[in-house]
Amino acid sequence: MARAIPIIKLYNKLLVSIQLDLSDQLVLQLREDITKEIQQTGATGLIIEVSGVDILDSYIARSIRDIAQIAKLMGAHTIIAGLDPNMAVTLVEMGLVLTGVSTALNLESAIEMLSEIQSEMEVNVDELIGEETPEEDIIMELE
Amino acid sequence: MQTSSENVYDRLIGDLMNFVGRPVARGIIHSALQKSGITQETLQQTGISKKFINEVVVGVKLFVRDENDKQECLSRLGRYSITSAPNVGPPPGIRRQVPKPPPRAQPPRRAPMTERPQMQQRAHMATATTAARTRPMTKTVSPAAESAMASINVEDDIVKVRSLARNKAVSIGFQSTDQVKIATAVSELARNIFWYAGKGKIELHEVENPRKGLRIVATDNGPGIKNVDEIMSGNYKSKTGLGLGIRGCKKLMDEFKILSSPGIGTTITICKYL
Repeated sequence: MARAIPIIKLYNKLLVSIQLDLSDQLVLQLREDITKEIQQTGATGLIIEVSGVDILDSYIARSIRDIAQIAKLMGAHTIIAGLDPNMAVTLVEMGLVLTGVSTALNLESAIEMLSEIQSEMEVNVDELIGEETPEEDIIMELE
Repeated sequence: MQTSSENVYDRLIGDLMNFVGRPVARGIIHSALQKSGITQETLQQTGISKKFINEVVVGVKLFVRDENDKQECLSRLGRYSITSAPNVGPPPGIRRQVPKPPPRAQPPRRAPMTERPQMQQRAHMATATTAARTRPMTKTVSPAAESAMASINVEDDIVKVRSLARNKAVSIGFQSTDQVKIATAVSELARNIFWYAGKGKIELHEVENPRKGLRIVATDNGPGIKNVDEIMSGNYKSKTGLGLGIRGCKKLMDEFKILSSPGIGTTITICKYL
C-alpha cells in the first residue's frame, strides 16, 4: 500500500510532508489516510509540512484547513510547518485566514509546540481519571 | 498544451499525408521548422508556435493544388492549438537571438520550389554569422515571442500553466514575492476554468504600456457567472469556493477585469507591473 503522500508516526504525533502538487484526488486520499492513521495510532498531534509545496492557492489552503479541522474533531491538534515566506505574504494579501490552524516556522518548532500542547491535553485527562479511580479506596477497605 | 503522449511532428505529417505524399509532407514540415528556427525536439516540448504554423500553411498553399483539398488541409491545421512559448532552452539573455531571418535572406512568398532550399541555406548561414549584428535589430521581435498560451483541459494543466506563468514572471524580471503572487493568481484562474468550465485557455502577454509587466487573460466558454458583482463584493459565500479564488486574485494583482455572463462564458484579464 504505497501512499502518494507518506504519513510518518513520531511518538504521539503524525508527520505529513507534502512534496507533490495536490490534485483533487490527492487531497481526498490524504484526508482519508490521515483520519485512518489518527484512529489507528491514537495520535493527538498532526504536523503538515509544506516546504515542498510549490504554490499555495486558495484551494490548497482550504484543503489543509479542512484536514486540520477534521483532525481536531478526532482529537488531534494540527500545526502547519515550513510555509515559504512569499507564500505567507500571498495568503495574507489574498485575505485567506487559516482559522483553527496553528503554524510553526519549521519542523523543530512544530514538534516543540505540539509537545507542549499535547502534554497540556494529557494532563487534563489524567486529572479527570485520577479523581474517579475507586481502586485506592477498595484496597484500604480490605486492609 | 499538447498532451505529452502525442507526437506533434507525427501528427502533422499524418495530417499532411492525406493531401500530399510523404516526401512533400516532410519537406513542408522541415522547411517550416527551419524557417521558424526550431528543431523537432523543441517542437515537441514547446508546442506549435504561430510562426511555425504559418510556415506550414505557406508550404500547404504551394503544394496542395486542388482547391478543396487545400481548404480542407488548412482547416485541419487550424485545429492545432497554438502554444507559442518562447524557446524553452536558452536563458532569457540569449533568447533574443531566435532567428527572425535577416531581410535579404527572407524568401518571397511566391518563390518557386526550386529556389527555396537555397534561400533557407543562406538564411540559416546568415543568422549564424550575423547573430551578433542582428541582435539589436531583434529588439523589435514579433509579438509572438513575448506571449505564451496554455490550454486547460486536464487537471495537470493547472500545474503546467502555473509553472509557465512563473517562468514568464522570472524572465520579465519580477521579484520572488511577485513571482509567487503571479503564479498563485494564475493557479486560481486555471482552477476555476477547470472546475467550472471544463476547458479554456490562459494567455500570458509581456506588456510595456503603461509600464513593463505581465498581462494574463483567462478565457473559457463555460457556464458564466450570474452574479459577478455580488461575488466580487464578498457577500456571496459559495460552497465550492468560487469567488474566493477570484477575489484573492484581484487582491494580488494591480489590475483586474472580469467579463462574464451565463451562456457567454468568462474572460478575466489581470495585470501585474514591475
